[in-house]
Amino acid sequence: MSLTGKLGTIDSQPGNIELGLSVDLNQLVSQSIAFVQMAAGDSHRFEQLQSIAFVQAAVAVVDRPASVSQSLTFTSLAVQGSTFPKTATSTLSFVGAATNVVDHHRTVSQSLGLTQSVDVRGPIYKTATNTMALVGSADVQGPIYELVHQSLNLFESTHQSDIHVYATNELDFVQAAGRVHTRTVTQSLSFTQIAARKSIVIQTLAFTQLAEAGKGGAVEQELEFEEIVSIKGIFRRSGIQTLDLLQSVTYYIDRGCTRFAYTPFVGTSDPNYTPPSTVEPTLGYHRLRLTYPYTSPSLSLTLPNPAFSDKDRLSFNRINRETRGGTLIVFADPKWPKTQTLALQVDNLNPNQAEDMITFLRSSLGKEIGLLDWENRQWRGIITTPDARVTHVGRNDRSIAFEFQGELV
Amino acid sequence: MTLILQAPVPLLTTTTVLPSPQFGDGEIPKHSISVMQSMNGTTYSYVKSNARSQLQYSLTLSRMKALELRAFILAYYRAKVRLTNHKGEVWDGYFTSNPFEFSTDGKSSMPGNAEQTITIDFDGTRVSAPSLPAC
Repeated sequence: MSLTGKLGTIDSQPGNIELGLSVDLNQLVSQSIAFVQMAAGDSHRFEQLQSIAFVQAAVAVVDRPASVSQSLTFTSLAVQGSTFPKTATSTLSFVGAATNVVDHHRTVSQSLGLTQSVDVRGPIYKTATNTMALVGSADVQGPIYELVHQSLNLFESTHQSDIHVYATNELDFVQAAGRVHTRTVTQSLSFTQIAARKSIVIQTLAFTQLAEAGKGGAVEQELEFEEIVSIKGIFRRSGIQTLDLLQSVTYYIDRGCTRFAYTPFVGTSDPNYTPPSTVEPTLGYHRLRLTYPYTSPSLSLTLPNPAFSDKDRLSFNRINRETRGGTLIVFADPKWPKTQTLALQVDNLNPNQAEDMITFLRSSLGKEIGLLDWENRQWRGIITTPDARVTHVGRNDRSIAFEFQGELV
Repeated sequence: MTLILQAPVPLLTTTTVLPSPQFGDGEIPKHSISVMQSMNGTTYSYVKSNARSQLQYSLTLSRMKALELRAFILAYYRAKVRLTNHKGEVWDGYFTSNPFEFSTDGKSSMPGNAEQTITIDFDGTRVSAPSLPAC
């Protein structure tokens, strides 16, 4: 192995270094180059330019299996030891090619170790730019399949001194590995979804798609979907439905006497309703009598029968609603009260009877009394109009109108 | 013809036959419209149709028949009632009167024969067409 080179001067003249390497046949080819260049500027104001272009080629033209390795270590250091504003530019351009022109399987490996640093040492503001453009390519030119392994190790650092500096660190990295036929595409997607509203729902989707296509080979593509939904709450509901079958029958007789007599026709009963009695009530004849209290009465007042136009009112608490479709819905609980009211006007009272009536109203104020009506039916209830007016109609004629609320006994 | 009340619907249990109502009975459909005019004078009408109608009948009853109707109301005031009116129309609906007021108007010397008048309001839908008797 022989090494020739010519070193350039340091008086701003470019320096070129040429290296040549030749080896014997059937020998291991190994090439290692270590290069250190330092350019120091003095106090003169001039621009210092440092440019290194390095081209290395290792070609093995042999018919026998051989391994080719190429290792490059390059260190460039630009130091400015001046106190005046200077611009330090360090440019590295490296092209490495490893070509193996053989007919057999070969392993071609290319390793690049590159270290570049820009160190600004000065008390004044400086602008340090550190730019590395690295292009690595590994081409396999041959009729046979080759395994191309390309590894790039890159370390970049920007030192900042005690003074304020503006440091820009840019990395441009391009790597290309060419292999004509075989392609491997792996695509992986992972989704994680979380939805929380009173419960946490985690939904994870993992997609893995692999497509391999060789020269003349089959393409297989598989997709696997897995979705898991966990429920952290199980609510059991039970429903009971009872079906009751009922039937009913009723009838009516349309005759003249039917329309006036007490003749309700009651068939089989609905359990939700109590049908009226089919037995007609017994009506008698009696004068209106008021007693107080209802149990063990101590006060009794007999009055003339009330005049015509007396009222018998039935009042109920019902809820009426109309739906959007126009259907009327009526609801009333059977436990809700049913109010029965008698509105009576008693005329032809003599003065004593009128006075007794007022006394009775005062004595039984708000208390339960007994009322025996003119049809000999007994009621129990309360006079709801104790402020009833006694009207002096004629000389010995008084009248009073009052209301009684109660129920038939 | 008569006025027939039957309840409860659909499980008819009790039937009450009443005389025909007095003149002055009415049928009020439950439709409603809202008429509006836009700023350019165009008239719009918004219709809310309804199959229900309100019937109003005034009945003059004997005392016993009034007591029978009173008992019928006390038993089925909250139930759906089937009404067959003097025209043969069959209606299903509810009594909407509140209160039900029986007024004694006529006079009689016999108990149970005094005339009483009551006006009932009935809200329902007609389920069959009128069937007038052939003369």
